[in-house]
Amino acid sequence: MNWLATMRFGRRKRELQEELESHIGMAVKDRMERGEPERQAREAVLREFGNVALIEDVTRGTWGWERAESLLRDVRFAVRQLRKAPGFAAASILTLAIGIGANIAIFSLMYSAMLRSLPVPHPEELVSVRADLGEKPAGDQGDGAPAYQRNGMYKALSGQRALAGLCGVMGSEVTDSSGEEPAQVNGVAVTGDCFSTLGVRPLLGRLLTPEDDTPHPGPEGFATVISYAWWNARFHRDPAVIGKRLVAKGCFSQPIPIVMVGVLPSNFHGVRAGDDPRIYLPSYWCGADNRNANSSISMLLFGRLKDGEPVGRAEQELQPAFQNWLQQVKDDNELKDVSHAKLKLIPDAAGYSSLALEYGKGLRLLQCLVAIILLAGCFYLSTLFSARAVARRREFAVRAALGASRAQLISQSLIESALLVCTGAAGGIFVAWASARYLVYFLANGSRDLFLDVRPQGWVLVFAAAVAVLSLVLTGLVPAWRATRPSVIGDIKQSGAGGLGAGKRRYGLVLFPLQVALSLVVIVVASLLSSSLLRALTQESGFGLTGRVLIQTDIPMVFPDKDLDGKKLKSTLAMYDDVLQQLRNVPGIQSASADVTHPLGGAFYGAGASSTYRQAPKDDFTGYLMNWISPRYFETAGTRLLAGRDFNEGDHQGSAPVCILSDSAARYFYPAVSPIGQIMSEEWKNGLKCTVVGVVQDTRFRGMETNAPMMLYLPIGQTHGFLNSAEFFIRTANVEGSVTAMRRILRERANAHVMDVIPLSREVKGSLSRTRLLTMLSNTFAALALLLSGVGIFGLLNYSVNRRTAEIGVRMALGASRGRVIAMTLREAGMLVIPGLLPGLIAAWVVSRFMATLLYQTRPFDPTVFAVSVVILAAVVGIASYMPARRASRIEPMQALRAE
Amino acid sequence: MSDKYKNRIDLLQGTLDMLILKTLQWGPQHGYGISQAIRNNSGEVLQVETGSLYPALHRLERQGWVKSEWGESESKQRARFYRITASGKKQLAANQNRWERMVEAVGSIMSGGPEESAS
Repeated sequence: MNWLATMRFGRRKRELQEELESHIGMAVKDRMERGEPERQAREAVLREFGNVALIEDVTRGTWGWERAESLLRDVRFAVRQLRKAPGFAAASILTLAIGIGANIAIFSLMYSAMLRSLPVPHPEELVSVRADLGEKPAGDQGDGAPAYQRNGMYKALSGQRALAGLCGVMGSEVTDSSGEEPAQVNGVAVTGDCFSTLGVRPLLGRLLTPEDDTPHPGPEGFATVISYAWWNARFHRDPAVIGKRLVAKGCFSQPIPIVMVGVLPSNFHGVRAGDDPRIYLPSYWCGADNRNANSSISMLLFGRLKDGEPVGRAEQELQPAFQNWLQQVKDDNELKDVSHAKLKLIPDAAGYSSLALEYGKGLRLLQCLVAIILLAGCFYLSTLFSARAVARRREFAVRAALGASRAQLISQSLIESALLVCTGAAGGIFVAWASARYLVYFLANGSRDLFLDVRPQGWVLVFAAAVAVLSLVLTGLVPAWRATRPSVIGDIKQSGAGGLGAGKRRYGLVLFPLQVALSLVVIVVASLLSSSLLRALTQESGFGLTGRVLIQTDIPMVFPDKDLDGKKLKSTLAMYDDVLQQLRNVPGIQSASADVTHPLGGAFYGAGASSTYRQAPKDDFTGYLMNWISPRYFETAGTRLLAGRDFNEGDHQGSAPVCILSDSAARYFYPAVSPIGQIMSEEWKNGLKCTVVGVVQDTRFRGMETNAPMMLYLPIGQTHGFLNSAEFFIRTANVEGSVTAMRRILRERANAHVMDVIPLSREVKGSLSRTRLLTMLSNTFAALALLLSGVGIFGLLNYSVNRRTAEIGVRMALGASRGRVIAMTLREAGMLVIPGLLPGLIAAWVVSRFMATLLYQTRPFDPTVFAVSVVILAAVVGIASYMPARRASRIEPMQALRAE
Repeated sequence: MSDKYKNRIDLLQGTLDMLILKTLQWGPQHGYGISQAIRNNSGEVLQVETGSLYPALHRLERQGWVKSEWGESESKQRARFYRITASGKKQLAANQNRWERMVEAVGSIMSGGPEESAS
């Protein structure tokens, strides 16, 4: 843009020269025709013509380029000025780069996690289809699974004409077992009309159609569409991939043939934010049972509104079909009260985002923190710029006297701040680009295959520009406005060194307390989160972490309907026993067990448990959890046995059913008596009755920041025909050696492979990833806020001491002690800090109320945390103030007076 | 230094603009031609300084009253030709009107008594 203008300017300049030359040429020719010799004629013409260069100059003046030229001069001047003050320039650019960069980074994260529209035509017509029971169901943990939405709903609603299209999406782990080593691939099962509903077009081949979505595919296998990323990584963008067959394992660990029919465009990453499935299979690939089950909650529903149809009308039209379905489901005795139930269509152009549910509040909190940081940074810079503008007051006064208007003076002093803000913003974009990727990496700790596009582009850049303009106004405009006030310029005439001190101090007196208030908010938030994280990490969790590793295998699951005589179950259980026996002989392994799920690894909700005394609240999904475990599971996990005994090898299919309760479950179901020997009833599957043989410590099974749920443990050996994805759980002194041994044992004894190795510590990290991220960032921001406060007050006091050197000299000459001078300076510091404390505490209280749900066992208004925050801030500010104060006390009266 | 020229432009501005536009009414002309035409048509009384002419031409172009393009002069020389635009013609008519009223007013002051100049 700029050099283009320069080029245009250069061309016009040459043209003007040419035009004047042609004028001279014609005039010379005329004279020569009248008989003058050429030399004489030329001289006469030039004499008549006047100063050619000057004429050019004046003519150019009419083009209106003068202002651009003078702007360029001002910019050059500002650059020179800044070079003379590299410390000032570096401090400002760094502050702005961090402040603006943090804002952009968090915004780009928030944008891509919850705001960006899907790359499909008319995303505004897309709606999420949700069942709503009219009140917040107790089972809704905010993990996104609407408690009463079932896969069966798709079938009930898909025939309706109220929507232009309906799409059901189920997450699916797919194992690509066509390669040498089986590889886990992040996949998704979609109903046949998904792609047409979304309006996605294939890059290659074709996409799935309703004809593909059938329980009985052709001989080639289920039609499959793959993502661009996977096409690139696995098949090196080979077009011949279309028609190629693969063998996938999923759902029941059964090998299922699939055939690739198409590749998706590179900008399509599925309908769930943060997810980037590589493989899209028809929803029937896991069998009709799962797809249409009224007991499964794995399917998300999306619809597309008919052109121009309001959401409300489509919602109403769908209502009868939904109520109809709900009555059937209710008859299946799954739901109790459906009188307030309603189908809801929620406009959802951005697609489903579990990230928004999990991180939405956290991201908003972070956005709030970074805005505060930027504001505090701007206030700090504003004070700096103001000092600088004041230092240039003589120059301004001279210019004003020479006729420069106030607007001109302001624009000139703004150029310097604009230069700094622009450089800072450019640095900020870089900071954002670098840190946002790191943030995504950090988030991915909790969930595998996290995909978020956080490159600074589109709306993110617009946001960046807006932030930069705001920073410029805050940092540059106000000081420029103040420094060029006519009264200020008038002051110059009267006084020398100290004339403007009062004004400058007044400015600092307003801005610095504001900075203190903002810093205090950030520090309080950081302290609250730190305290919460500390509690989550240090409180008894009911399991240990060192050396605990989970090993997942591809030993097939067993389902009762495919194993009517129970032989398969028996042999599989024997296989588990055998592998465990082998494992226990491996050197380094201290304890080995098997389980269906592990702490933080996902929860099995019971169907309803009761003792002779009490019944578990039936609708309450959080009421209690179940787990099927082998003997020595508790020993492996490090969960203490409080009463009775652990399961042992005697608890098998033929023996009397037994169970173990967690401490809180024992207290709940048996309020007055010892639970050992009592009978528990559980309605799981066909129902079972078991004798309680033990009570174990409570474990925080669902999450590090969720209180321990009631647990009902059943022996894996007594499982009712059903053996879900069991895994091995070991405690070892040598993880790597144990895993190698495990691979060998599995191959030799069970003809199976290790699919995944999960250290329990990783699950803990994952469970805390949100809090860890928030804590880490808020602590960084708090450190930044403290730094800015420290540097800010140091600068202000230093300035004040300089200005009052003479006064202090006189005081000391008159007998003031050093201590009194220090006290005087610190009093001045107090004047700057104390007015900011109360507003800061009030603002922090408001913010902390918002973040109540992000905290674990920490009250939003925790007096200790608030007090500690104030003390930290006071300590930093105190240290920063003491240095100028000490310098003031060292002033030699004689020298100070002589300087005067 | 440039003030010297600027001042003259200021003095002449309205009038010179009008003269240029008037000259261009007879057809497109280059800068030299315009200055010659003004000189000849005024019986050699008005001499347009080049230092005023070119700034004036460029200003008129910027205001959209004239347009310019490169062409060839009668003497086969490359020159920049100026042409009056429609809005330039309107401007000329307005200028001419004002100029005539001004001449009349000045004339009546110069020839008559003070009571006649009131208005």
